[in-house]
Amino acid sequence: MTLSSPGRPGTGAGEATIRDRSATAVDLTALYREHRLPLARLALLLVDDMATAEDVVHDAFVALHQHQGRLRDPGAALGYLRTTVVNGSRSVLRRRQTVRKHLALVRDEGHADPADSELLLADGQQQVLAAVRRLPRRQQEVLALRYWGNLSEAEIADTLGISRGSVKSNASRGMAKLEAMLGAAT
Amino acid sequence: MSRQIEDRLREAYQARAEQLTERRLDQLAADREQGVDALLHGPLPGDPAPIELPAATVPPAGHRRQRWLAPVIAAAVVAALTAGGLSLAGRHQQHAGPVAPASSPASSPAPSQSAASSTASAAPSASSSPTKVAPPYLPAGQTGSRDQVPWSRVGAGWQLLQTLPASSTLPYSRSLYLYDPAGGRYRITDALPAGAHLVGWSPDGGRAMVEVRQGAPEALYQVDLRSGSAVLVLRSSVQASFVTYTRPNGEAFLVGTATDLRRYAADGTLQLTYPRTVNGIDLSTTGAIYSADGSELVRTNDRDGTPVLVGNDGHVIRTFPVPAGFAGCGPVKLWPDGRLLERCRRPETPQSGEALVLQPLSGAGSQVLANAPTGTNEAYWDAWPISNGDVLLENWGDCGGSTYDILDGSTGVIRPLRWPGGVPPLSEVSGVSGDVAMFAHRTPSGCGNGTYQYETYSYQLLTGQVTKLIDGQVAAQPWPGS
Repeated sequence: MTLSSPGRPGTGAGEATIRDRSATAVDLTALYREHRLPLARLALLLVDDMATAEDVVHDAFVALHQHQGRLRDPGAALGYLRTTVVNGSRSVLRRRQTVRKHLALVRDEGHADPADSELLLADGQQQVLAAVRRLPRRQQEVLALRYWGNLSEAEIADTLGISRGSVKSNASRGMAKLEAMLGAAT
Repeated sequence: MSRQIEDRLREAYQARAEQLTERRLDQLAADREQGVDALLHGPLPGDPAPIELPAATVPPAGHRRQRWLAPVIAAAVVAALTAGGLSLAGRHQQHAGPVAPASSPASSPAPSQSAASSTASAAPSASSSPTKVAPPYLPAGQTGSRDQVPWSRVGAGWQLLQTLPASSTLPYSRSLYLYDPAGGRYRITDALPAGAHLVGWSPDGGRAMVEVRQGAPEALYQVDLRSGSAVLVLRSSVQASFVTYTRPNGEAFLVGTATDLRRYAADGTLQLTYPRTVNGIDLSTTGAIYSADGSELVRTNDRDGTPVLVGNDGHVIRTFPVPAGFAGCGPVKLWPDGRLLERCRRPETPQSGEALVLQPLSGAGSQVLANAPTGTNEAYWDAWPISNGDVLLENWGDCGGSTYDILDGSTGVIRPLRWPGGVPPLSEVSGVSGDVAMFAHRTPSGCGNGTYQYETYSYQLLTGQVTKLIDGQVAAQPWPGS
């Protein structure tokens, strides 16, 4: 799947970003309709919890709603949303880590979603996702944006606020670690 | 990198992501709204009796936040409902109020692009012989005009720079500068095409390539550095993964995308689409390294990331054996003596034992340049030769930051790069040209929350002199001959 840009025709992955230059304001409705699910799925891959993913994406749209007047380029709205989703996911993970640390709470039973459980995935897929979760957070983000979001290095760099070189090296290093972990496990 | 692992990762991501459906998302949103209702309008049936809280006690932050979320987004949702695209229940349309997102890129300050000129010196390396920066370079921080560039002196140590915004929501700077080895800069243009990003400097030194992704479709412009004018050379319906000038003179350029590697003449005429599969080897299209004379290219085997030498017409010349003691190697760049710098993994500690190896393109025996310390999470990622025989090594850290070491060319001893104050910062090298490295020094130094502030410094690798150039980060292209 592709985290496509607003106004982009629904054609294959890897095509150029097309923006509606006549737009003078962010079309929040269109963005919400077109990108809520892909963004929630991205958040799910980062936070591994559907309710939290929905919350993160909801927050991102609220933030966009409040900041849209400050976006100089309305076409940058999707980039803003992506960045906010990634940052929001990171904040959730930090809070979760703090909770686990101080309350020794591994997982709040109230948030378990059995119908959504990773247990429904094939063994091999669970193994891959478990290995991904052992990577540093930045590497997880780069891999999710690259291999699920199908973003280019430049787009990932924009989303994460890092250089293209960092994207490349995070991706390479993350994949090398995955290869080591999964290679050793199979 | 193994295509098998990439395929498994894509498959796992897709399977997990598709567990979250539109319907499930709507249900989760409705659940959240119910929670907001409960908070706003009292306990749900079956809840225990409310507990009186002391006056100073406030609900948890997350709940306070939730109270404001639904009404603010309501307008968009209602509009979506009106358009018939969504089915969401239980939204509120009152109590609109302020919400501060956890991390807001739009609120990040733009870099001040005023040049700074603070200079400090680290203790020079024992093996270094201090050298003077010869005049008539501009003093660090001073800006000259394009007409003042001493073109006959432009070479190793010079860098082409575009300042970058601190926030991804701000447009790129439209200014392009040429920095001399002393940190003085010459303004080439303030009128790059809107949204342009510096991607290449021609080997003859006279042109730069900038890429614009904010238009439709993607466009590549060539900038004449002597006149400052930009000319459109290519529009592409496919986004480029990389762009590089051909060697030795940059009379053409390569564009790699997810599906194709193509060579274009300087005017944008397509010259060649390189074959993806040659002699049964699937070749990557997203990167290539030219030999010094431009007659050969190093591409990578798409299955395992190993280097493959091909001719200018795309035919495979040779593959390279993995050096003894390593599990695999991938190409990094061409070393100034014409050898290929490779990054290699050891089989016993593949995630932590990366080494840098120099491989002659002739296929002759390779030589280990630097071994990363074993038993640690350190890994050498890139390297740059210094004119005194030492080598600057990039040692990779988490969260996109790096630390840097110096490999003493005569003794083989590796020591941390010294900075004023003695503490090597977590940084990112923006470019190394000759004996001058540009570093983006990042704060905070840890992983932080993903939002960083940058300052760009030049570091004279022979003398240890560090000069702050600007607040903010830069896109740098080192002198292409170095």
